[in-house]
Amino acid sequence: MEEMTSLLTQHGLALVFANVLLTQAGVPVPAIPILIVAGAFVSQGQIALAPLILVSVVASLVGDTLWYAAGRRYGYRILRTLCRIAIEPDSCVKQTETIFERWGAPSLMLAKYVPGFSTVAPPLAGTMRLGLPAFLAYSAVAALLWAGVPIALGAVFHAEVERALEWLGSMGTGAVAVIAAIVLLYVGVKAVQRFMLIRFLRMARISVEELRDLMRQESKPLVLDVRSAMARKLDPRRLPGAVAVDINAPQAALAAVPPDRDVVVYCS
Amino acid sequence: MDQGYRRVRPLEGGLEAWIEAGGQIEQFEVMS
Repeated sequence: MEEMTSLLTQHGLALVFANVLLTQAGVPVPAIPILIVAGAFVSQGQIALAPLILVSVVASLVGDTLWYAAGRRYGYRILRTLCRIAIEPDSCVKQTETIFERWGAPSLMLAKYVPGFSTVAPPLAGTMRLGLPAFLAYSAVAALLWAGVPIALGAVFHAEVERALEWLGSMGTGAVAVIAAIVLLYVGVKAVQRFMLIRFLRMARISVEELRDLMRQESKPLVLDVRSAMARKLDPRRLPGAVAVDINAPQAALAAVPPDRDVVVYCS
Repeated sequence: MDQGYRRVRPLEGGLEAWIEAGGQIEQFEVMS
């Protein structure tokens, strides 16, 4: 632990930059702990505040801009790939789209605090063709808020941070191994739960092949396009005969449809 | 999406999967 502390004192800014960049690029490593520790180091005079803030904001912007560029280039495909990490790709795309549609570009400023939205917001901004200057301005404010809070907390509670570091150091490598095993077990349990849920959801879905077969039959299914108006404007393609429907009020479209008729929806 | 006894199923992979599989497509009218 002492080695870690001295490493942070010597290469603090580089480590913060690398950690924040990895986090913002989508690697599931937390960045908040290192920012809190760096904040504590600031109050002890071991790291300068201005470069620390600058490095955090720049690293965050680099990560976000990469995703933004990917969103501009690949559109919805990149969103769906990202959302695959989430449990339900369709609902993930739909949910993030709704947040962006409702709040517009300023939603980027709070994106980092909304679970699931933080990774998806930059590519979504690219997909929605938000201009680069506006994207950078909102993302810079977002990064400043996101990094500034833990740094300030670390600076205010530097004594507690120091005690926590000492306590971790006194635990030795055995204790660290136990903590790592608990974390691995937690991740494993979550992975199994996710696998079971995805299997269940797949059973409730219709595949492209099944839908094709169904469309060839006499009793064709009713196909509903429940994407947002913005998504339909960006990509006006639709399945043959698909009816545009507001997902929050599908009753109107279903009112005249016999109850035994199959209904297929797509939301991305 | 449960509509009582009505069978409502989401399309796996959405529009993109349909297009990728070579499915026929149409266009929505120009929207405001």
